[in-house]
Amino acid sequence: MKRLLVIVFFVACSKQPAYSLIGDAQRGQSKYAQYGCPSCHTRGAVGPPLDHMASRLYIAGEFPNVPQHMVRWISHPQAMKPHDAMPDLNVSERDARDIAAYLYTLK
Amino acid sequence: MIVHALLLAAATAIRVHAIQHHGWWELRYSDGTIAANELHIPAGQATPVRITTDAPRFSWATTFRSSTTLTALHGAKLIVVADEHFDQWLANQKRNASPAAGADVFLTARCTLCHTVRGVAVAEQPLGPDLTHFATRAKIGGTIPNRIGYLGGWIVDSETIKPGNGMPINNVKSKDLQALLAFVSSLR
Repeated sequence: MKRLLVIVFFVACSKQPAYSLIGDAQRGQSKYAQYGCPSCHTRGAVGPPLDHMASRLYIAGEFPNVPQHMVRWISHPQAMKPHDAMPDLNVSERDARDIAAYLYTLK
Repeated sequence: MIVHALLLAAATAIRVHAIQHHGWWELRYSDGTIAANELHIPAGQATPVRITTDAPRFSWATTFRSSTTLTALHGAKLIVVADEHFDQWLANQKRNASPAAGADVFLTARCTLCHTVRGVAVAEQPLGPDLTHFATRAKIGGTIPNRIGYLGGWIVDSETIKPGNGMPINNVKSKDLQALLAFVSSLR
């Protein structure tokens, strides 16, 4: 038990980037492609380009860009903003966290 | 007895006429079934297929026995699928669509200018593939995975995904896009 506490202490204090606590950014990058996100988010004609998503202050022009909103937006956009162009993509909680982690690498 | 069975099988073997249009394939089965883009054949059976294209004018009689993909001119890939459950697939392709929510948007958005969904509407001109059982296809436009994210981008802005495919940009209201996605996804 003491050993476990030590490990947790070290992990919590490590200099890991914040987004790595949200999910796996590398896995998120492949999930981003798998769900078809580039279909709308590349040219910027349908959905905005996400190249600098990590630096943006709002998600969907409405929600402060914090991990909690980002994960929720990726998994349930229609619940947050009914009739927005972004459809519900049946993204699992885990995949949403990983995609969010990936997006937060895009400074 | 075996010879008789083989002769019977040969006599009733399905044949397909694959017609290449601009960016897509029309598939006419010898029993009258119509499909598009993904040519299912009975697994392990040689199926005669006649392939015709318009530009250039070309006709080719061949036989397919296993899954393969033909990359033809105009980048319209013909996907051949050796199907273990071919009979089921064929029977399903024959059925009309069960009208689902969003059919009205399919009409008002003028998708029926080019696309047929049997039981809902017939295309004004057959410029695009029959979508009656679109949701049973593995790919959209023979090119990208048939999943919601890809489908949304395709419906609105297919030109970015497959330049020159022929389908216009469909700048529908976002509310209508959701209805179209639900409708098209229900076409099993």
